[in-house]
Amino acid sequence: MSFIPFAHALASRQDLPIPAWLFAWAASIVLIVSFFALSAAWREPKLEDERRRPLGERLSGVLLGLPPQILCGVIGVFLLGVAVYAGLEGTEAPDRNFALTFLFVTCWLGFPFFSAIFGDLFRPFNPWRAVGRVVGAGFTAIAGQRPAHLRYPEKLGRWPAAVGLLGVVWLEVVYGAGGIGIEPHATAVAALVYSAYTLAMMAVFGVEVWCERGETFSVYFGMFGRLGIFGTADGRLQRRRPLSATTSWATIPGSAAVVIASIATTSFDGGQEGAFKDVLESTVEWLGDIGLGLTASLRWGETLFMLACFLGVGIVYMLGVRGMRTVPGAPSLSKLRAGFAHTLIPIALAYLVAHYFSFFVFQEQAQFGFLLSDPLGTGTTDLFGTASWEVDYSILSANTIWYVQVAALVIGHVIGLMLAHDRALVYWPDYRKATASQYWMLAVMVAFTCFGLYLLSVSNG
Amino acid sequence: MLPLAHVVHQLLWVLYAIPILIVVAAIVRSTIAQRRTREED
Repeated sequence: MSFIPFAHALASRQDLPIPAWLFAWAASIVLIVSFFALSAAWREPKLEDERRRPLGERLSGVLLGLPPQILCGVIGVFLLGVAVYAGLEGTEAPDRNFALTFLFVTCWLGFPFFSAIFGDLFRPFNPWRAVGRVVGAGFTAIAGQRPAHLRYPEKLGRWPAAVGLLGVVWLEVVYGAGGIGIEPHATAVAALVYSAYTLAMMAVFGVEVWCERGETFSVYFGMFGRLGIFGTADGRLQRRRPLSATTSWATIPGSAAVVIASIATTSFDGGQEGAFKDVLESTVEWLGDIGLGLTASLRWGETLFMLACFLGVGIVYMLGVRGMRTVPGAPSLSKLRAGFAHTLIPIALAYLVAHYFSFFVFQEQAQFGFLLSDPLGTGTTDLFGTASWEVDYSILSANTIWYVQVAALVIGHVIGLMLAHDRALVYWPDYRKATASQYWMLAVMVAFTCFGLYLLSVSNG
Repeated sequence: MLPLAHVVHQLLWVLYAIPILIVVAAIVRSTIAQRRTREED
């Protein structure tokens, strides 16, 4: 996230009692101890059954009835409209325009953070789903029959969402490279293009099918929502066992690509101005030498690095899967690949929290302060009397940020180990074989933890 | 001092790679030992 320059520099300087790399060693020890504790104490699958418990009928009626659905849909469409309007008509100063902070911080980071606790919060507010459902209902009322749709190609699975996820981060981080970042006007145009594409796909394949498989934001936010404790089934709000809903998430092809893309894009964004900076600069220089202009060199260089991150994260995961395959009684490689993809969801969340939580805290002060009162950033409106508010960067010290980052990474990876161990017990009912298969996932988790901490330590330094 | 500081900065990743290498080495060793035991049986 690069449109607020020097945000990190405004925080205080880190003053840690031990070198940052020792935290990586300590985190690795925590993971190894957790691994052996799981092996000793967790000998049968516990998370395959969600153990849903329906909440009160009246509460479900209040929260899931038609009026709240309409209200949430209207709010979603209205806010998307405000963001697009602000992007088109507001100031080009990225930090003063409502559009960028609302789309790339409040929504892009806020929905994963809160959905991971409460369940999928984006679904009721999804503006495209709301429009698609209204159009579908209108068609049914006029034509007297439900709209016909093409059958969605099963093999395509969630790949459109994975590509879309790479596209969103590319737009935010890479497209704005060379300038002060992505411009509000370009963001608004991209939002309009994406809206047209999404509504067309919904018309072709159906609203719910597209939201489940192809619509980037639904798939991405819904993935984190599987970590949360609330869900819906049969029109009722239900409470479920924490983490248990993740176990059925990756049954659709391409799901692994979505979660790998999430970890890869966060790593790329974290590393582009830190750990990868020197190599990236050399690549851009080389691209310039072979005849590309400055902006094109920057964009191509960063695009190559983003794809390299995607490949790198995918290769580490596949090494873990291949390692598991060597344990006697292992299922096929494709079954293992899909079967363990959900174990990366808490890691994707941990990476998001570690890399962006301070940015989120700082930017939400702007969102609910001056951006709310002056969404166009023209300095001429003050809707709620908060237009003069400023961001207080002192509310989080550099040490606090670091400790939250370390804690997020450790907790995320321990949860990943738990999910992997639980799934291994499904494939290898003999707990000794299950444990042996998970040595490889332990290596994957240690690798992601150390890599994440390395990226952060270089960025913070 | 400056070039040395630069080298230390460049090689910082090694310190983060050490735990990964230890875990991978332990796994490879254990896998080879298990395979040998299976073959002997």
